[in-house]
Amino acid sequence: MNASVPLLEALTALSGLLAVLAIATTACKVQRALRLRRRRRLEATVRPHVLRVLAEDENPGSADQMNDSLGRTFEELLISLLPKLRGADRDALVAALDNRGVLERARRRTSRPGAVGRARAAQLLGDSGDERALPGLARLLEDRDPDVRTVAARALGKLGPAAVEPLLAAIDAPRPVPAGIVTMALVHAGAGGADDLAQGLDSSRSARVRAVAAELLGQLGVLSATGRLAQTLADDPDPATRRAAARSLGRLGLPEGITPLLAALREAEPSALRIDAARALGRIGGASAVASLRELLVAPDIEVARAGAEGLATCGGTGMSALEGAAEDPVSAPPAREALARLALYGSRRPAVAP
Amino acid sequence: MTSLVRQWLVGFDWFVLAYFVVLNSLYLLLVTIAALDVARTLRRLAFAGHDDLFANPFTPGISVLVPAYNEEPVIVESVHALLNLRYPEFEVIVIDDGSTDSTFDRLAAVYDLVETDRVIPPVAPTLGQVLSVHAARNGEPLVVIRKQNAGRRSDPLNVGLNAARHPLVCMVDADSILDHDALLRVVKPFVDDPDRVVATGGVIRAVNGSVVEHGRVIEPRMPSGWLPRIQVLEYLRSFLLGRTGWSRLGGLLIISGAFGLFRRDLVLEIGGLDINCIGEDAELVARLHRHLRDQRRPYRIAFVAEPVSWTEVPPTYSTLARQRRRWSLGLAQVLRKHRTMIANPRYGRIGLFVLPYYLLFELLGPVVELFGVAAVLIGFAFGMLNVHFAILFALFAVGYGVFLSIAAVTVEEFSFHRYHRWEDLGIAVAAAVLENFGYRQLHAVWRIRGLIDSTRRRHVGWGTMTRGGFTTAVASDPVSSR
Amino acid sequence: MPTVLVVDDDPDIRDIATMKLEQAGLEVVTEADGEGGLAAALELVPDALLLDWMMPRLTGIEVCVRLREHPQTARLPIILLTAKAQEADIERGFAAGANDYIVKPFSPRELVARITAALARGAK
Repeated sequence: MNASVPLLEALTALSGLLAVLAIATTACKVQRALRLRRRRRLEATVRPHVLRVLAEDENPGSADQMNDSLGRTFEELLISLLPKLRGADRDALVAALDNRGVLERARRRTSRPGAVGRARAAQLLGDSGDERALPGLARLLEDRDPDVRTVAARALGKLGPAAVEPLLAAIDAPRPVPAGIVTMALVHAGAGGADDLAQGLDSSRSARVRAVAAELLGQLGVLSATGRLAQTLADDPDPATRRAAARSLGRLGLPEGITPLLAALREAEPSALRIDAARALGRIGGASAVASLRELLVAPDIEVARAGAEGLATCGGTGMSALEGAAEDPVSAPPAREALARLALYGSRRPAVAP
Repeated sequence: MTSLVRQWLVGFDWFVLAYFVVLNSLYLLLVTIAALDVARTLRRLAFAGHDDLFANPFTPGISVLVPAYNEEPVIVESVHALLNLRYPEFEVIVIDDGSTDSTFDRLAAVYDLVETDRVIPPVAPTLGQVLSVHAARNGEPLVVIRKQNAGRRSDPLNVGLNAARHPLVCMVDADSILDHDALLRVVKPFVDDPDRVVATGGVIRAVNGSVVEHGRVIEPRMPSGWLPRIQVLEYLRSFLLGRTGWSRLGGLLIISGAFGLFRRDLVLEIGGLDINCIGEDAELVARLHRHLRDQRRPYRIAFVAEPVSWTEVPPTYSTLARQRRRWSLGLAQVLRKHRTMIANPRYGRIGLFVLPYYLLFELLGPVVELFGVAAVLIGFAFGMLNVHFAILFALFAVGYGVFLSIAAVTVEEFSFHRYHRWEDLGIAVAAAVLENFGYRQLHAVWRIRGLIDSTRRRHVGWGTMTRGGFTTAVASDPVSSR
Repeated sequence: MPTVLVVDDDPDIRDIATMKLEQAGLEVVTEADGEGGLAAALELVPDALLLDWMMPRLTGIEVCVRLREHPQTARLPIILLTAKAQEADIERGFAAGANDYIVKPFSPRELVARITAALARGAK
């Protein structure tokens, strides 16, 4: 049987393939070196113009004349600086880009085929804080490509309070954006979105939306939401939302939060909630929670006990005495001693693990 | 009698041919998938949002677990590098596994360690007793746990798991160097797909010969000995092509113990690491697959191709031989422990494709090779050998091995291009060819010895090798020849 | 003219800070990493130090701690400029001896204001 022939053919094909790979690799390396050198040259030329934009130069006209590769490099350098700056200087960068039509092109790009292009355009629009991009980005929240949806969400979060409602809505959309991504995006939204977020706590919204809204109201420091959050903590049927409300009450730090949080410490409540409530009480501080937190130290769930000790550590002198007392009792000693040790090392800072 | 031998030889030759064709087609498939996936990853890197992850308070916290046994030459630099990783919220937990050298003392001096109280809930089972816990007085998020040695890497890891306070745990080796933003990159799948992703792994690369300063790899370079050079290629094939490919197919079985990120609650749910397994990292992932499929929970285990953990690879034949022998033993143990998953449709593609692949081609591959060589010799002795065909076949086998290595080098050059010097490229090509003349065969022998070890239930201890992790080269294909 | 030492491994930050500070009438010296920054600070003893945190070799925190140990730089106004933005990071920055802490992305105008104020305080 002469199987040698196909084998010979296969061998030839293999050799050809190897040659192709070798050539491709070499070509790639060469091209990269050349491109790098070219890029360095272009950037050196363009850099002073970029700095002039930031120097609020009265006559930036020289920059407008740059075209083709110089112009592109100029724009790319401007874009790369956008995420590094804030305030008037960033506005100057944005204005320079706008003058060159970059933002307009990006806005148009968000509705064209090519997911990578859409995503890059979305990122640029977010970094530039261009509010005109809002409708386009909101549309991208329903994009077929999950990466595009994520980038659009991140970008929208940088455009201010008007982004709150579309982002909340995206959580339950048929092509959803993960709730965590929305939460992370809205961190940048500022307190202006407070009303929309409070609306997100409404019982008509889904559990995921309520949880995100509860989390953000605390993170964004919306003090006026304390009452609403207290109610959510007490009534909401969704455990995750209640936990988020507890954490937020802790972040807001107002004493109005103490009573509902104390109620959440009860034994009947799920452990995860008791833990978040204990930590939140620690953030608010004060002597009123000490007795209830002290009781947690003997809880059978060791994580609940630890959270109780953490809370006590930031409740002033009364909390400290309670801990010291608990450190003598063999049952409550381990978590109490752990909290005391942390206090000795780091002072009364907030607990190790961010609630 | 001759006709019997002839029949046997012909049958076996057909078997080897079929084996060879199946295996190399699979490799080709993996290479193609991997190349496409790496390209896709690269295109999307521009908007991956790592900077946003770094700045965001909701990025999940990571507890980095560093089991350490007699690491005094590297421990301070290693911990220093870890503490300066670019990540918003993390703690570094070093578990001093009963070191007999000055590992602890060095850390204590540099970080002003003070003994402290820390509750370590006994969730995952552990053997060695915890002796003391120490924290850094200067505010660094460093915890050092001293415990009694129990002779295996999984024990300190379980202690670390119990002690960890963040929702994600990253297991690393004490002598490995992570890329500065490795944590940001390896956490991204968890953030993008929080309901499903349960574990991710990154790339391991050989650091030998590279320029390292203050715990950062400033310039990757190919090492100076041929043995480590060949290993560089092995790791490139295994990670850049193998794991990327498998991950894309939803069949990632192995996340290296030197660079894996896991959801802490799930690992504890399944009982932590198996203290009786040498390949405890691979076994953990196998068990995760099993547990989640048993419970019909949708999940994803992903491989992230950009972030690198740089590791010192054995430069001498004896240490390398021991390592590969141990890896083979570990693989055998994992497969034996989870044998009910093999070819079991209940476990989806892991049971139907991945595990059988590891059994037939990775574990038993060297056996086929050995018998293949034997068949050639017997055929030659009996004058039944088609010499012409045998030579062509050998050439093809070698050529295919070279192809896989060059493909890895090509993908690397087009994507991450971590090696800048032209000479490194030349060395890589040379190593790719050289590997097939001696190393491959030796490697097969080492792996067979590991396989034999597993049948004898011989326990190979943790020993002097610092890396107890487990990685498998993709192209451990048979050098069968006719 | 007061001198400000700017230590950051990002050339963009160095360029922008230099330009803005020079516009404000200050003299600026730059260094690209922690080791160079520490050496320059000890030798030059500038009037203010703008210090990045995450740099290869020596981190900003380490530079800050070491500078506080030397008498000539113990009272040097040090402003940290860093992307590390979590509460614990800010705490650690001040604990290491920094006088001010600016989070990236930053406003160059604000930066100039803070440095000018630090210089004024230091001059008294």
